[in-house]
Amino acid sequence: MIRFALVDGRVTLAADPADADVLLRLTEQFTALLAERDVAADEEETLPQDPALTRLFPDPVPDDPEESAEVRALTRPALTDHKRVNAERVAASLATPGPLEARDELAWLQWLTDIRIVLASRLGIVMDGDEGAAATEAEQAMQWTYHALGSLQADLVDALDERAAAPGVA
Amino acid sequence: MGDMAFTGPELDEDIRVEPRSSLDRPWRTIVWNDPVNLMQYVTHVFRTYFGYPREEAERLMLLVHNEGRAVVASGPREEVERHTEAMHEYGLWATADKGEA
Repeated sequence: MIRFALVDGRVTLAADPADADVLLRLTEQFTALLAERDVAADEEETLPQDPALTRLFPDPVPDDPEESAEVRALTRPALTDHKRVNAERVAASLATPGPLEARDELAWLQWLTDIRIVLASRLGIVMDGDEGAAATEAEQAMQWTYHALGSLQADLVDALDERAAAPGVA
Repeated sequence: MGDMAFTGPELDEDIRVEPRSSLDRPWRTIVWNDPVNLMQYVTHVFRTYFGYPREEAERLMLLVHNEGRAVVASGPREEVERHTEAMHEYGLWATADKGEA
């Protein structure tokens, strides 16, 4: 079980070792996927990309390819780093659960989105209402993880919103 | 200041911005619907990143959900591109454009 709770105004992570291990492997796979993108980044326009990467790094200015290439050259390295650091912070906090620093709250919030985007892509969830593949055991497990991480993210958003609404908290 | 009055640059009277050119239109950050992001999460991002009040954040989130997209920010190009990248940090599917002619 992985969960977030608000304890004395701080978002606090609890994680049992088995589930922490599953998430840790996902952070490693995510980082490996980003590394794959780094290699392909120079040829982004000519190489067919992993659809998950296309969704994680959307074309910023689709109406204007020239402008888009310029913006990508300017922002993609930092964006890739940001996503990698998120995954690393999530991994580090899984190793030592407890109250999260503000930057770790953001890392979890954003990484849970990113990893769900990758899982959705693998499952073929591309439009509202798509159920996603569930024919094999591996796909069923991925489905379970996808939905469990959605609930986990909802808990985190609840905790953050609750704290923001609390009187006397900046 | 002395006697040297500075009157600023003198623009030739003939210089005009064509009303339909892209120069007089603000850029926009658009967020598109996707099947992954939770409605509650999208609202949270609009509130915390842009500082929108809850009602406005929910209105924009519902536009994304029901109409497929919403303009969440507009302004100078660089600012809009920065917002667009920030949305990508949050895993939202965002694009920048020049607005409608």
